[in-house]
Amino acid sequence: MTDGPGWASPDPQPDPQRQPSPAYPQYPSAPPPRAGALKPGVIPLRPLGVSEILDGAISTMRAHPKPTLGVSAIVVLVSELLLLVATYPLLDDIGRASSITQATPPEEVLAAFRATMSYLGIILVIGLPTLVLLSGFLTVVAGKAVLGQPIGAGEVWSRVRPRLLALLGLTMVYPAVALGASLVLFVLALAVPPLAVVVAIALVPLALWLYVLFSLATPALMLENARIGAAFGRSRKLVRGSWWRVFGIELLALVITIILTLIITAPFAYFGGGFDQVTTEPAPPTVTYLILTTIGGIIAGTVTRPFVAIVTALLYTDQRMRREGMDIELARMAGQPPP
Amino acid sequence: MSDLVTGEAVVLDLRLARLASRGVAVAIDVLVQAVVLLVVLLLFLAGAGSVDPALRAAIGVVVVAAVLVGYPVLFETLSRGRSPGKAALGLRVVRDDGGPIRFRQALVRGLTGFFVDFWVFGLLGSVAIFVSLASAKGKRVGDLLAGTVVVAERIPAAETPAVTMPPALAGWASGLDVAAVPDDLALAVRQYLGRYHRLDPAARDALGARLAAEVGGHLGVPLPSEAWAPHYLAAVLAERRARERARHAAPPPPAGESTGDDPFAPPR
Repeated sequence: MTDGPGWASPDPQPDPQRQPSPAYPQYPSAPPPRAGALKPGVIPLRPLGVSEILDGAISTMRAHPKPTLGVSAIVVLVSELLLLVATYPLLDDIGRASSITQATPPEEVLAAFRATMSYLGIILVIGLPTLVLLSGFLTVVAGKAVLGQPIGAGEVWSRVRPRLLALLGLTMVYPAVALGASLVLFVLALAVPPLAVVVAIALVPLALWLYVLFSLATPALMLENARIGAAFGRSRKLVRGSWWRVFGIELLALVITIILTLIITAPFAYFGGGFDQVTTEPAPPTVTYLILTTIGGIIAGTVTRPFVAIVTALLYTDQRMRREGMDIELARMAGQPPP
Repeated sequence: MSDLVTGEAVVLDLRLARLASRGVAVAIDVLVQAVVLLVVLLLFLAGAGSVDPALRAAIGVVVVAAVLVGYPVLFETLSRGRSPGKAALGLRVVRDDGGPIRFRQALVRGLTGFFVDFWVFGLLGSVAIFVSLASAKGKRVGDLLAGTVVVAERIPAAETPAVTMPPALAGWASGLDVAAVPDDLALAVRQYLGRYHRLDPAARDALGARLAAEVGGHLGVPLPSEAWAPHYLAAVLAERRARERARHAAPPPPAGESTGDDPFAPPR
């Protein structure tokens, strides 16, 4: 930790070396304790309400627009442009996939399938690292914003860079587990089809439960400097006992993200002629449509990506305060009255 | 730390609602409006066979306007700023100075919402989103024109538990110099005791030991055993409160020389 012990994981064993601090004389007239909560940064340091977490993310974006919206705009712009360039040659074949019938020759079906697969592959190769980079950066920004520390892009980056590989590894665990599970399911489906259906149905709630349980691993990794395994353990510890609360807030954030994306991209899709397909024959997307939807996607991503990352970081902060009394610790460190 | 200041420069302890919670509230309201419109449409279709086309169009316009504009105006006027979506999220529309809104403000907000923020020229809400993001107080165009702001009323209740003296420690605590514990530390201890049962055991013990050590440093008497930290903290806090109460209950000391019994006595 380079900037203060605020996010350090609490030490389960009390330090035997720790001596009671001597009673130094304070300032002659110490300020009287205030009624409100200590609020060094964007949120008050006390257990938060749901709307405080959601609005806190917006407040953070408004209070620090350059490291949130600015950085997110640049990263999303670059990644969307890369995606557009890389996937443009494939779009004809993908467009044809929607008109496949029984009469389509097998070569065309194969070409459409191959194009769709490479499209998904390119999205994974370009989209995932940029997403990881951005969410790591924004998590550190949110951590500093909560504590009211000054935020410089260079300094944040110097904290993010050494953790980047670990964060990528942490994020890759999800697709790896999903891939493994679907392979097992595939083998099972070949062997005992009815059992595979039952297992698949049972896996959905299990996957959801695990996803929410480990959803605070990214802030734990970035802010506590935990290793990958420890970060998962910390997330489990923080979420356990309030799984439904974390699930509900994350679901709400997801709904807000979807609504924002739909509203922001809808005008671009409309002017690009995307709604014409409802009334006419399906056709491969035109260049105008692609350019306009990419612009819409960039604007929407610029707003929604910081929102999701900061909500996760604030949720983590809230659980730290609820489960571990971090607000009391921070107030003692600051030498100021807690809530 | 507050976001709202009245015309008399009184700082109000209210929290402004931002895009996220306001968006959810609007989404709930739109859902209710859609259901109302759907029901009206179905009723209309059931009995529309014999109606003149011009009349049908006129009724359609009136119904859509009544639902999209009338709904927020009606609810925000009658409930002083809470449409059903806002009530669900614990939000309320208030004037810029914190006062309750009236029909005037609700009408401006409703009309602007229909024409500028959401529907007619609003690109389905894009205008509201970007104006709200750009505004320091999270206002949409309707708020700017009406001079209103949306605040969050539902703030988590502060936890201020009553601390009781553990009977076994009453004698020990009565000999302590509890006035040496500063107010902010006492507040931290009270917070800690109030949330004791909801904290994670490992973090709870570490924090308790830390607070106990700090209290012990102020008292000059190290707390006997770390395992019993919460009990000792409770004893110190209860003793501190009991003495404070006794001090306030005592009669005030005589305020110096009396100036005489007769208020109309001439000045000396």
